[in-house]
Amino acid sequence: MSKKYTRREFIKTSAAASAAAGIGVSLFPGMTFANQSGGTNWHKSVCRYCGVGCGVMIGEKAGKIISIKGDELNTVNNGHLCVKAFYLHKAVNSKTRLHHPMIRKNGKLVKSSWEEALDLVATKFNEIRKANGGNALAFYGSGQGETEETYMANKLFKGCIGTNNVEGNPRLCMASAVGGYLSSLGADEPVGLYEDIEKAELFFLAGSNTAEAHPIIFERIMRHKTRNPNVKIVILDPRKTPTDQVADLHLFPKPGYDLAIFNAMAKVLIDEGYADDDFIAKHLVMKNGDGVQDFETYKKFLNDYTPEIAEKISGVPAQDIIKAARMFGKAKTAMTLWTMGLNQRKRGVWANNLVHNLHLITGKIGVPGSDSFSLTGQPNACGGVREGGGLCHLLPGHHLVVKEAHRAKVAKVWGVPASNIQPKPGKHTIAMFSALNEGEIKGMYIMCTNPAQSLPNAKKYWKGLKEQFVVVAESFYPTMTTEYADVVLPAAFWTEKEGVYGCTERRSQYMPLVVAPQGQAKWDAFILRDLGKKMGFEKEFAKYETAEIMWDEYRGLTKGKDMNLMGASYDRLKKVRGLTWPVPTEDHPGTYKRFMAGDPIYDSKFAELAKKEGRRMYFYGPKAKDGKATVWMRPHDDPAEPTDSEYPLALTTGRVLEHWHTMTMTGTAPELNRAVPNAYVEINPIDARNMSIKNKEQVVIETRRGSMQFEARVIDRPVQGTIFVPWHWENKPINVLCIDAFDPGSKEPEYKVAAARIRKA
Amino acid sequence: MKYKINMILSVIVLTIALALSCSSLCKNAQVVEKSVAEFAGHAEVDFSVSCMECHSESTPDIYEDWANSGHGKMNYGCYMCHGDGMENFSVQPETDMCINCHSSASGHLMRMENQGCFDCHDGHTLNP
Ligand code: SF4
Repeated sequence: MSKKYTRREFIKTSAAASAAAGIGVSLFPGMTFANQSGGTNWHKSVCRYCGVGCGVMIGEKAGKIISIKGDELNTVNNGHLCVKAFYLHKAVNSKTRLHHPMIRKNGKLVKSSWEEALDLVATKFNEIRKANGGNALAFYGSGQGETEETYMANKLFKGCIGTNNVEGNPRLCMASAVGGYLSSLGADEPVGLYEDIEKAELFFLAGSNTAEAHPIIFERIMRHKTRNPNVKIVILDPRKTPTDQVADLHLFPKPGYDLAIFNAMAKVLIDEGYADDDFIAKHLVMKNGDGVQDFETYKKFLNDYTPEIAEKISGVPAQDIIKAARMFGKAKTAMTLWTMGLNQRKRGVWANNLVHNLHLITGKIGVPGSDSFSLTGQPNACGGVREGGGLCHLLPGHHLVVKEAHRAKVAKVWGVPASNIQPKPGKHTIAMFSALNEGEIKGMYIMCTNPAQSLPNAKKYWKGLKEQFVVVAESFYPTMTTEYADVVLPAAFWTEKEGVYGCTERRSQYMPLVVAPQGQAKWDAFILRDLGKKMGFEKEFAKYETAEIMWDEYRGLTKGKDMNLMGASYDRLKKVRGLTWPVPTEDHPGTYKRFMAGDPIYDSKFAELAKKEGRRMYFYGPKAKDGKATVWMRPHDDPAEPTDSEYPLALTTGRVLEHWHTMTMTGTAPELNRAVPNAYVEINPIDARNMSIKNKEQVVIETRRGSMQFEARVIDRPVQGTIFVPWHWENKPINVLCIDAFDPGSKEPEYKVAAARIRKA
Repeated sequence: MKYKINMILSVIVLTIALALSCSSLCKNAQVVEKSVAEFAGHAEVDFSVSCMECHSESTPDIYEDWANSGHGKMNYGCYMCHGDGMENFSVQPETDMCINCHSSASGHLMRMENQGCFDCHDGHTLNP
């Protein structure tokens, strides 16, 4: 055993080294200076991590990925990268990459051939289908899969096997945002683009730790504020985060009690004359559970949410709520950015609706610098799953399984009988894993995600994963989910496949294949295609020889839809830094703002009508009537599991800058591990004092679902009565303690609030 | 405070040693390098805390410089430029490390000809 160093000794050594380096000698060689070595080829691509969708250049030398740098021509990040992307090449070359298929034999996963593995999956799936019907099978995918991959899965499961049990992890993060956009604005995804950031006067960051979860967006906001000191930032979050360094005002609600705040802000905005009466009259309808109402009814509804009442509900001082509303009202332009803090809630859709309300009643939408802008978590949740139809009620290209004409249209393109596609939505994620537990679903194919760690109340669902026939296609091994797999298929990773990612701002970007897949790894879309053939759908999958064929077929389905991608051919996408839909033709530059002048759909179909009615916007989406957006009267509702005397603390979970999801990728970079080596629980100093807990002490968190030990970090971050745990670490899978209650509309689980208690270990 | 004194002492001692001769420089270099490599093998020791946690106590001035810089505001920690200390470590990071995240500055850097980023920009404050 070699010598252990104390902190002090390390600092001494480092200091000595600094001195040596000061005269030009590096005592610590070993950093890779890839850019300095000649012969590196750079390939334009997109970051593999988050929904921001930064452009990256992949450095390849002699068939190996050696470095990543920012793409200076990409407007999303202008060449900048956050820490995760900087180390992506380490994930590509990680020892944890899976190089061959594996089959469980006598309880152990052993190496197998592709032939044996795919034969087994095809035979098992066909047996299950024959004995129990298509609905006994399911697919669970990912907002990190490429659009082409989700497209193949959709065709195999919905079009060929005949089940709508097709879901993906965006259900766990973005479903409430989808529900919010559809019900408020009539169509999914934001009106504007990132370029609104540099035009905004006020940012309302609600339930978004932008600095850590969407770093490049935060950088843009910070830069903008530095250059324009009049720019103001209001944060709504039960926890102080690194985002706070730019905050002018922070509202700290009790987790799960913020709906009243949005309503109170709307009341102040109207009462104090910040509402845009003309916009309201021409562009909006007011609705509650009983249907369309008039503006007076909305005002009456808001009387139940005075700032004082909202203070009682949320714990945020009325004066702060009034201040926030005035800042929002006074600013000429405002952007609200939100993410999991609003989405992962029992009333996530309502929270989204109430944010949209603020923009709608003040007319701060459809103008440069103003938008109600949801930040997406995953790189292709928008592109592959929301647009690509990778959920149980959707079909590719914003089509719905419940609509006969949509089923017929998609079936025709797929070359399958329309009757193959079931008219009823399949099971949403939680229902699907419950059905796996109960044996109603007997076979599941999991692609590019790790639900054994990421599902809420995760342990509950290990039963089904263990008992039923589970196939996992993954680039990394092992994961908590492969522990339960009967077959593990090695998936080609980013850089080893081509395809399209669609990020937060409706931007579709092409990613090239740069190097061959490692070992025997194969592209997920080809695995699914080949599985389809083996299951007997030879004819249906014969034509998919290239990614471009899949993309072209998919984009054909978007023709004439609000998300028209007809102008986004591979040829074009290879040259440009993405295109923002609608982009109907090859010569169309892409769209900045939807529903208004400059949007090709608006210009060609609705501009005249809008002009006649004296309107500047026409919300033409499938869920809007007469081109009008909806202001929803959404009342306060408690979280599913309020705190009580038994469990007096609110447990909330989230992310750190340096890690991503279940760390299968960021865990491969020693630098990122070094930055945040372990999980911990943040405890407010007052709570800690009351419980006699000291910083760095070991504590046990208990919820109704179990208990887990963590190191205490006593820190003035979470609001009193709240504890926070980052969710990334496999050895501390906090999601096991989270509640699996979900929003009745979006079916997105309430990861952000659970009742908990803490004791010393 | 005592960390700081230790650090200053180390710097003085090493600087004197380095000034003596090239051979002593190399010898010293090897000794320290070996020690760090050894250190790097011990994930269970100080690797359980982040670089930052320790440096905020032991080198508070450097920590403050960093915290108020663009990197500090983004929370891009020591490891970004200096490595993780386990697999790699660079006391004076090379310019191409910067360029990976600041690729839009590559034209500016080229115009500086033989200068590296740190010839003008302080490594921790990042000024000017
Ligand atoms: S902000 Fe997101 S997309 Fe951009 S570099 Fe970081 S992880 Fe990648």
